[in-house]
Amino acid sequence: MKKLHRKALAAFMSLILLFSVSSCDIFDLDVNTDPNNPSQAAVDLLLANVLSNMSSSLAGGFNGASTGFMAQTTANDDFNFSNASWNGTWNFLYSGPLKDLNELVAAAEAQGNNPRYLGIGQVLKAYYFSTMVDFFGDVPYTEAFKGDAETPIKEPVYDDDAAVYADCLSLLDQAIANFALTSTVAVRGDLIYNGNMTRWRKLAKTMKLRLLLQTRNVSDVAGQIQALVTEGDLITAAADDFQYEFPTAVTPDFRHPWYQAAYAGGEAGFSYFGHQFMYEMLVNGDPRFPFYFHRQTTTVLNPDDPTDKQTIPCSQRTDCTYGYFVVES
Amino acid sequence: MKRILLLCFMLVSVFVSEVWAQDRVVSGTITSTDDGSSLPGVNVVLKGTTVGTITDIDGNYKISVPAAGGTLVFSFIGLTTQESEIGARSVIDVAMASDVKQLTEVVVTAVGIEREKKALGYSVANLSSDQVSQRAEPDPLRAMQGKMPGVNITGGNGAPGSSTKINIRGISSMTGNSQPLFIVDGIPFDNSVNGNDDPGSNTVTSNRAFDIDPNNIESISILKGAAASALYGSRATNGVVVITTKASKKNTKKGMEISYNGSVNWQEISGIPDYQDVYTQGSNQVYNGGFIGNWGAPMPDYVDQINQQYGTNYTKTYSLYPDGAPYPDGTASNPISNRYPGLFPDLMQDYTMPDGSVRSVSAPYKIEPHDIIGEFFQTGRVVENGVTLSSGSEKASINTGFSRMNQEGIIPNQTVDRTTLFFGGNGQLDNGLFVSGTVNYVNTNQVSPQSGASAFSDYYGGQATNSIFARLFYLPRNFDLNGLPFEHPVDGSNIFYRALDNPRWIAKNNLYESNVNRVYGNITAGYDVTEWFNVTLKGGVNTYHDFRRDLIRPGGISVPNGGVTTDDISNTEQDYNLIMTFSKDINEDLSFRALVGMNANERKYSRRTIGGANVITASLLKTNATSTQIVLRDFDRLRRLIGVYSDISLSYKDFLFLNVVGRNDWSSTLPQGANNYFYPGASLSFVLSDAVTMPSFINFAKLRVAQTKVGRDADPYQVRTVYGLGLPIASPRYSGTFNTATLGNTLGNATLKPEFTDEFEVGAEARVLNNIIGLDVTYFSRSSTDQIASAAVSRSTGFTQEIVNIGELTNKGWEIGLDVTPVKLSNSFTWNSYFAFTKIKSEIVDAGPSGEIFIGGAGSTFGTIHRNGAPYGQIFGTSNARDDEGNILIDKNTGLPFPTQTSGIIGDPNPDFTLGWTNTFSFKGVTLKALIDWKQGGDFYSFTAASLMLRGQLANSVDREGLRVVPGVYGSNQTYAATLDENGNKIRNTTPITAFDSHFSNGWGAYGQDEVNVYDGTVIRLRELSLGYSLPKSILDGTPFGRASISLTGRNLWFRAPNVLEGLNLDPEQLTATADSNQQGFEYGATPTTRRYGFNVSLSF
Repeated sequence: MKKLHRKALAAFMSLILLFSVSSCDIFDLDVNTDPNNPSQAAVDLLLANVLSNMSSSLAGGFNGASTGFMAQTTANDDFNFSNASWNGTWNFLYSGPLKDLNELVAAAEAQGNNPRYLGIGQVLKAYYFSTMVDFFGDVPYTEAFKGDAETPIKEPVYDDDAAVYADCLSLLDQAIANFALTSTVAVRGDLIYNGNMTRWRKLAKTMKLRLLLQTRNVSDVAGQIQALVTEGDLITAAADDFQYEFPTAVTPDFRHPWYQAAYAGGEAGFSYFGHQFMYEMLVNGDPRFPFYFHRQTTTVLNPDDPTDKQTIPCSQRTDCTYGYFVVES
Repeated sequence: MKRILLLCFMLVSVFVSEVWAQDRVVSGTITSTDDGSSLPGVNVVLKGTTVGTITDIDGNYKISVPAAGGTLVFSFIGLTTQESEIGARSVIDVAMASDVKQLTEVVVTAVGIEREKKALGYSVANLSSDQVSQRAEPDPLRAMQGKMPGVNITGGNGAPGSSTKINIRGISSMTGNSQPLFIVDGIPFDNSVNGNDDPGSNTVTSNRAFDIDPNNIESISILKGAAASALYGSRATNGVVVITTKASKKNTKKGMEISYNGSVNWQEISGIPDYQDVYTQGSNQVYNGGFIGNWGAPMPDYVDQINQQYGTNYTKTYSLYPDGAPYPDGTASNPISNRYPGLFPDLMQDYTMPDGSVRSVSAPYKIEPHDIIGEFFQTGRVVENGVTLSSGSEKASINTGFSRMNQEGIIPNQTVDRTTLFFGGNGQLDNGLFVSGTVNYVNTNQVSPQSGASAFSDYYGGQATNSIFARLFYLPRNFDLNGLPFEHPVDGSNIFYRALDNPRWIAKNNLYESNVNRVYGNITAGYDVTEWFNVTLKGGVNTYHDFRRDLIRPGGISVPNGGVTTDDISNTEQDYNLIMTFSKDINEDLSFRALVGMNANERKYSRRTIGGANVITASLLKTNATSTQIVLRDFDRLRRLIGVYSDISLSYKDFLFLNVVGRNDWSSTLPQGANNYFYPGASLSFVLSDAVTMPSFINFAKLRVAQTKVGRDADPYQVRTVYGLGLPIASPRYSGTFNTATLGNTLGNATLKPEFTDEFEVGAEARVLNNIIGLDVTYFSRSSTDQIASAAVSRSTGFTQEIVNIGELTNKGWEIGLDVTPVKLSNSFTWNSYFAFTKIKSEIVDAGPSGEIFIGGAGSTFGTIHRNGAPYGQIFGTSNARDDEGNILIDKNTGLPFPTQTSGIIGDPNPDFTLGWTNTFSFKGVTLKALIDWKQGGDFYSFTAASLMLRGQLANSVDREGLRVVPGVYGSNQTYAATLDENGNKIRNTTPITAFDSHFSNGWGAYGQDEVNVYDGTVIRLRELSLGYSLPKSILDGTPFGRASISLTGRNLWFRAPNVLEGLNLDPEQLTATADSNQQGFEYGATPTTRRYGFNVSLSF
């Protein structure tokens, strides 16, 4: 009897052994590191993301509001803005490009000896935050982006707008100083200047001029402006423009947000140029006209022809039709 | 050594029997009392000896017995053991009956422990094979609907294979998974949807429990509360559905049985709206062949009548020729040739202009109403076939089988089929070793036209324009969808009257396909080390691979160049349990059983999605036949869990039972070092009727009470914040592509804790009046705390969401099962009624710092919300402004109401109660079964109602010539108060509006505030109806059949939803999104539900 018990137990133990040997990993619980996403990101990847997202937001979110008169969208056309109108833009900026920019600056600082990326980050930070101040006034700045800090700040305070502006100017000075340092690190991920540091330096100085101009009524900055002009290292040629060009590829779709919204898909388009806007530009012979209006035709469209999208009523509303415009040849 | 002993034993037996054999021989036949069939494999033993034999294939036995005296014992598992004194007889025939007591009172509880039902201190619901199989329902979950108290099951929609949601005792998670754990043959069975939470995308995706063929289910136990399920650990919070398939059936009655089941059911759309056929497409009572709405001029047949009635001056002219002359009366220019001049020569005509020139123009098109829906939908079919073979003896049995289900939906190209193969066996060795194992293979294939919910094309911009439902239900009444061409005769591209995808074109070309291969199996080995100590090791694997394709043919409108997306999903789960059981009777009154177990579980999931854009040729829809391919997803997930558990039972005099459970889990998904958590529970069962002498009319009475806690871990990868890589950007300015990365928006939580659910349940069971009435009542109260949720965080922290432990959610409810047999006549006529009643009240006690969690839905302020103090998942949206007395405030200038300043709760989607009422009438071989299912309450926002109303589709909008006044009082949209006249009284609204404004414009009708389209979803339905007939034994004698029965089946044959918009005829049973979503209370317009009728045949050999 005993022998048999032992035999059976041995068989049992070998079963257990089999199961534990073949899958001993099953007892390893240290498997909670996300295999799908990196725990680190290189600065060039962050830079490209910041430029792309920030440009989209400036073109879409901010621009959508400031050019309301030229577009036929519900809120923008009749200036029916509310406190919530910019919630989306604000939320996206802070949790998107501004945060990544903050990461970029922090990473470049931490790496040390990486003055080019650091300088670019500083210029961008100065530009974006001065824009935030221009738009919103007081904004979270010193305590922003600390959700994942060792001592997390979950409700950042709003900083005085003048103080943010002053810090932006100081960032530009630091950037100019950083650009003057020699570095062997080539800048990649730069969708604007493609790593041309001369242009970045000119931008930093021009940006500084811009901020000084904007503060001229509250403080005496004449001397500083004069110094910049005298130095002459400013953006003077179109090639030096601080300009983001939107991609044209359909997939992945990084086209201009308004282009996507208005033209992509069947009848999804929600916005169209306001008639008044087109009329004003036409009668005033505005030279931007051919650049603004892509849809041009030489014949009068038939309003009874339902096959022409431009003549049918707006798909969501009964009180408007899509505009169409005729350029006499 | 034991073997030698055994051998000796047998030799001795043979020797002894040889000696006795000289005395005399008794023989006989053993039959079943059920159907009179002979029973092979029955043990026949001479009482008090080891002399014995078993019956042969025909149920005959022969045994040698001593010359005088002796008693024979006949036994077989599942049958009542009988004894028979031999006396002087030489032939002893015995009819054996099923051991009803044994069969009904043993239930499978957690980790496969079989326990006497009366010993349970908690409620467990059981269903047997015949309650779910051959129910004209291929979905195992839907086959259970209405049959168990405490369990709410909702079918997603009418598409074959679409997902089904099951909630046991309410929903215990605010944002996480609310679906119970499925255990099939002892191993967890993944029931994921793997879909998209977004209702605008696919609505047909299955939940993977669909891979279980209800016809292969042997039994189902639903472990409802925490007390019942705690041993299963972290996933048991939502209850456990324990399914035993026929593969692991333990014993069979005969030596060998082959049975066949087959059924054919037809299905059709359950309800078509009552459309209006009086007005044409257009707006403001003017026909326009390019519009969607039906607010045009009257149809030709109604022109005279309406002119007479209202003094209007409508004509029968609907279109003009280029020279201004009218088209013939009652016709308009053909809407297809208007858009594609000359493409279809048949739809063109030559028209002579006044100047004599001839122009080719659109031919006249008769303006008349069409039965668009009736003609578009088809009669679908469900065909099921299954063969099972089982063979067994007392010591071992094997089961094997094959089944196939094939379902054609009510929409062209909407199908699902499922093929199952299974094999299982088990054996008890004489040395105390028990071994069993099963293997199941399932192949499930689903096809459907692209089926995003309809609401999203019209209200939410574009997401579902490619869906077959984009506008199917509200196309213009005079548009002959089923008669006019839908594809280009040359290149096959989309043809429709406006720049949209034609539903027929989508149905033919743009298909979603899912092909699932699934294998699951387990091996169990148990050994009785001593009489009181057993060790069992169970291990199993459950793995599937779902290969999906989304095809969009080029030539459409929403995706002009077409696309092919492939989605590869695989999921593998391993689960092992080592269980040691000690059982000991301490003394005559007190017995003890302790179980200690260890569980190791691993779940590995991966999903890769590749999107191909720009199909090169329409004749080849493959990813590599597209000009651009992007890897959209390459996702892996791995989680492990180790648990140690114990279950200790004490029973006193067989009427008082105490059960104490505890489990400690270590989970890989919680922060290292703080990843273990313990949860205990206790339950008590007191069988009153065994403890004290009861009045004779009480047959059974029992009280039970339980208090248990269950913990639950997190989803993986929520502890740390990670970066995300973006898609590469191709700059138009600089060569090469620019890759991007961003720091994720969700803040991980390094101090994440597990969720806990505490539950108290108390219940009573009684059977009275000779078991004519049986009652089972349970009250439960559960509270779920430390919910792991993703909560909004101030964006200036750099993040949008943070993973937090927040809040509290409670569910309290009553479950009542009432079994009544009002009539039981001696001529075998029986009427049995079973009521399954469920009433659950949920409350969000604490939804975190902001007091609410918006789950999502149709818009950013329109969807499902959890809010402190309100029940689970309320409908959140806008309402009309009202004054202090509840009068709607009206803008004096427009005559229309205006919205309140902020959105609010506008409906409660949780039902007040549900009641399933099963009636069974049986007489001789005939059985009539009817399941009536009543859901009281449960609001829902109906996008179908909204769409049909605002498009002027419904018969109830026919009255549209006069003006109307919205009931209400004048008010201000500045002060949100009623305007008062000079006497300080409110002023009734008298500003008239047109029918068009009433229904279509912002303000009053379906296009107004969200609350307008919220309906009460109360519904009563005839869920199941079947009439079966079992052929009597006398007819089957001489045939190879042991049993044969035929039945007529019907499903969802009738329903009535009294509070839903009249004439909509909409079945409110639809899920908002797929079954894994926490969104509820919205009907977005997916495949309508169906009604089914057919027959099935079941035979056994």
